[in-house]
Amino acid sequence: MRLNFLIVDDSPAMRSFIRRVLELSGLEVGHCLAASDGEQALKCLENHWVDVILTDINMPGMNGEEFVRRLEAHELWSTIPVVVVSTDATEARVRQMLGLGARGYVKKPFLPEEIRSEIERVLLAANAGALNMDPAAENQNDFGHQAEQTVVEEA
Amino acid sequence: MTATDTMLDALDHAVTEVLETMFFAEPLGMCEEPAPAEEAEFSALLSYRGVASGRLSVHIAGGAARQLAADFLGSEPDSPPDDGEVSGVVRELANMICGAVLSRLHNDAVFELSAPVPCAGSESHPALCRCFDLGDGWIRICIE
Repeated sequence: MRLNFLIVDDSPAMRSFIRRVLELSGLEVGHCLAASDGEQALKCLENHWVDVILTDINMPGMNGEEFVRRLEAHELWSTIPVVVVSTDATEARVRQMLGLGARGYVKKPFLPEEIRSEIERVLLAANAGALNMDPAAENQNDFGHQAEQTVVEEA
Repeated sequence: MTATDTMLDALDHAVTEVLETMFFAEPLGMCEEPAPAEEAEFSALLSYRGVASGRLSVHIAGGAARQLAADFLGSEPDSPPDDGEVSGVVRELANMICGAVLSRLHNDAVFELSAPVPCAGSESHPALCRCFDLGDGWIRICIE
């Protein structure tokens, strides 16, 4: 199952880097949408559905903090897992963003396997929550395979 | 360890971590002689505020900047990044180094970082500075 992402970062270089890392990480990547701040990201979500949102915090315009608040206040968008990808990874900031509703956190600089691992973790938790499954079930291995099994079981 | 030593230690570790993790580069050591910032072809400056406030700037020789940018963007050798793209990568480098330094120095604090902006090398501010040899050139980072 291909995953669609929304990458929110004011740096074109970082958006390009994250997109490349996602494609090289082994995840099955579908569409990779991009936005330079929270406002643009919200407009993007009005017309496109994504499976995961990756967002920076410090951005001109609507920053990551406000963006996550707005997502949490929306009935549908609050179900999309948000992973913060930021240079700011002090304990206080991580607590703050997770408290606002982010499901994961990756500190820049990061290795490709770190971002893949965090994305898989939040998606597994989100799916387990949706189906009331135990996320520590024994038959869970690669996320792509597990996602396909979940779809079949629902049908 | 004095406050200056602590900050320089944090800067050293942050620079190494960022370069190795995101740019696949390893500083070969300190510059034999600190390179003057005004000789940098690319420079970036950002400010931070929180429990401590200040600025961080990055100044980098052209060859080193272009190689870092090519590695970061995954550019093919026959399609190197243009100067605009290199400048963007240097700004992101400054952003990551600043965040890494602050995380080491003040792990239980929230900071706001400004968007990095290009600056002239002559705009380097009186601060603690380090100059690293990257093989393809040098990089100088200053923090106050």
